[in-house]
Amino acid sequence: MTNGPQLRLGESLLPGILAVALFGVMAMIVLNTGFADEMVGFPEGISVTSEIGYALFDFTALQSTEGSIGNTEPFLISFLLIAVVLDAALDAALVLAKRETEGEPIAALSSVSTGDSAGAQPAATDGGAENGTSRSSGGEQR
Amino acid sequence: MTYELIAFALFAFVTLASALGVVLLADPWHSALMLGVTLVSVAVYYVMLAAEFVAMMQILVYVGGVLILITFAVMLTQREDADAETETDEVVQT
Amino acid sequence: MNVPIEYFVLLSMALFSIGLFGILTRRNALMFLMSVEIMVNAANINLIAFALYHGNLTGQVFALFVMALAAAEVAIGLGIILVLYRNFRDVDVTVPTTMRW
Repeated sequence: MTNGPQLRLGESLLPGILAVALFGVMAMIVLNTGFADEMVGFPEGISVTSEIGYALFDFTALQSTEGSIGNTEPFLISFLLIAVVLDAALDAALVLAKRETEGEPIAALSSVSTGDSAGAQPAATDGGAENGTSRSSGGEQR
Repeated sequence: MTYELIAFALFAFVTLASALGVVLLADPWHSALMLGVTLVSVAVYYVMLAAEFVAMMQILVYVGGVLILITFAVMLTQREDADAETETDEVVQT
Repeated sequence: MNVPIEYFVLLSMALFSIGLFGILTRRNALMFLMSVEIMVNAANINLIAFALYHGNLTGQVFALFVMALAAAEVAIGLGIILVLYRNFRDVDVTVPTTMRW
């Protein structure tokens, strides 16, 4: 595993040409667009981070009004939507990481292999991987 | 005037070279390292564009979160085949 | 601010093209994720450059949202890739053809 980095070339001629052509088209569009030479920029003396916070939480009364920085839209609803999406992503990642063997969900981080359930296996403290030995001896754990 | 332009040119070179390294290197682990260089150098542009908070979020979220997750996945999906070390991107018919 | 905005837009376009090239050429699913990250970063550079260009903070706030969504996307994508690796012993995107009609 200590070999150096190797480039992977070959059989990528057509996608390469396509990417370069796309870049050429977009660069032509940009170079033919007349941008103003001077950026507007942010006015001196105000904190950009604070203004981002005011825009995120709809604190329009606290927002600075000088320049066009006061035209920042309030973003509270989108902030909450992003929070819901992140929660959904967390749940989906947990569902994906969970294994299903014989209809029983197995915890993602259990260290017990479920392929062969013979013999006493350690670290079943999460209740996920119960084997034949513990089940036949009463079954009060479930 | 020219100092900022020179800094921009240098970091643009670093960003483009490391991004090309991400897509051209054969080993996904090397690609992940190059992706880290790309993400850190993108944060420099954010500082140049007066977006210090976004630059810090770039470092925290991308380098501290996304890159670590990708590193986990690269390490978890490494195959132990001897012939797959150099050609991890080829189709293996099983 | 002395660097013209055309340079930032050209840089982000070059990054986007590199990411597209990566998606078109690689067959490793992890390389797909990395290329998508490069493309998302190109879009973020554009957003923040135009935020300064217009003197408006909407671009910066939107770049933060894009970063949060990219983090969520990577979480889902890595979960899918790990399930793929567990079922097929491979992360090649051309191997799993179970859902092909």
